[in-house]
Amino acid sequence: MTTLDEASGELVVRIVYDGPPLSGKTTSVRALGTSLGREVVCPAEEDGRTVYFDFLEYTAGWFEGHAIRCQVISVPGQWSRRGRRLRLIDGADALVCLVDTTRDALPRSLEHLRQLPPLLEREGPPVGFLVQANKRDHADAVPMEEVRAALRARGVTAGVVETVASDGSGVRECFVFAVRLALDRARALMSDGRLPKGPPDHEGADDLFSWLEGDAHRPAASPARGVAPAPLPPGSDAPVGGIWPPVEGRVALHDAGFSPAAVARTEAGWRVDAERMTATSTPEDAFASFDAGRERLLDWVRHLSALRPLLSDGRCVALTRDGRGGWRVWQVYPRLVPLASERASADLGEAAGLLRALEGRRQELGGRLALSLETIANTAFGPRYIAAVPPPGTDSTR
Amino acid sequence: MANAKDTLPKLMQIDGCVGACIVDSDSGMMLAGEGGGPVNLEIAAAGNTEVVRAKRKTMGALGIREDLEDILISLDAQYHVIRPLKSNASLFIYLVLDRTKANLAMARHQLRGIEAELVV
Repeated sequence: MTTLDEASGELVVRIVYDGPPLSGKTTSVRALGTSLGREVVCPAEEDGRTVYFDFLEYTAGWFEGHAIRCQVISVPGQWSRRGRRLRLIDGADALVCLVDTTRDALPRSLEHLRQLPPLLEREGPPVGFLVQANKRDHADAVPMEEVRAALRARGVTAGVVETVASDGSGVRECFVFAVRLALDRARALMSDGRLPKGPPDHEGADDLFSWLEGDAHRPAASPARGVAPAPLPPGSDAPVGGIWPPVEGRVALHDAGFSPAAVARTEAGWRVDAERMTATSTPEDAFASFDAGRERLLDWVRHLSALRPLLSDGRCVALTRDGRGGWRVWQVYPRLVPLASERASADLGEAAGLLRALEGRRQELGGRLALSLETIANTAFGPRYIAAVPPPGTDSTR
Repeated sequence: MANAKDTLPKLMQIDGCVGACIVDSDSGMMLAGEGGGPVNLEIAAAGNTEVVRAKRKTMGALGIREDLEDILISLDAQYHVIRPLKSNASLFIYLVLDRTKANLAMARHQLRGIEAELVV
């Protein structure tokens, strides 16, 4: 979200502190606040855990004739708040990844690190990150040679700074090196003529909080940058009335275990694949509120119910949070092997027969499905359409 | 070897020292700082980054390939000393001395020793 705010004469950059729960994100930001003499704002805490973010602002330094205004944010670490985490990471110009280097916690930190790179890809220069090896004062802290070896083994080539966040040791150095990464990115954007100009996306903690909560809904990425961040995939934590069928659908979503890192943009909208399930969503399936999305969900339920005799089993529809303050309807269906993959050329005759049979039923029902050897399979219940169903109110597409 | 946090107290013990900081010349931000007296070290860090940059650019233009050891600036009541780290050329120490209490030669000598031990 770096931007050159010519009105104030500042380059605004955002440094985000990420890491697994209890790795020291909040402690680091607060220690930094103490060191810099700046107030840290935390909109809400629950049992000492960050609910939204920790935020501080610090203006110092110099970049191409402009002061550097740093917005420093730590994300919530708990899985149940991952939507907020992803939205905040999306705005980072550099990221500090906290690694708890105590022996029991290190594996989880390393796994957290492994999942980071896709989240830092952007149009243009990627977002750089540093590893903050924290809790170096603990009796069971893993020796740094082992930590570095573990990082290398996972292909992590980022710089590593040792810290004891609880007393502030190393925290400021790590922050300054993160600022360097953000400036490298700003410099690269500037040399390409793509450094955004204007006020920052969020002027302060209050503005950021409002955006995160969706009170004043703003897109997570400026349209001028041309990249919309991926929504969260559907999960079984959708509210009551947000999944159909209610029980089987919730079980299916739980078992599917869609990963946020696997959500990909397609021509038709968004798609996410897991081992046994696929979920798709179109641009028309995005809504600002649950109530608005529920109407669309009901349209889908009616649509799929009408086509049910033609469709593979195990499908569901879900209305879930998109991680940006809005809601999205997803069509979820099992991944089955189509006839085209299953049948050798000698069986084409049988395959053609299955296709004709299904086409006959489709014409009876008036469904708008593109039937082909790529989109049908021979299931226990006979030939069935196994691909994504065109949304309610559209013509059939392949 | 000493880190930034350990180094500052040693710098502040130099006779006449009223402020000291360790600066990242890429961003102009302080890694650590203490004191300053009438001098705002945050502003000084950013400004002196431009001084170091300008000097290096000039040396380049003149074809001078030597290392920049330190930059001394004499004011009416103060000395300002800028010393890049040999161990990390993108960092420098900035020292503010009360001219009435400091011995410039001794301060440079002590600064050289402290800088040699600093690793960031």
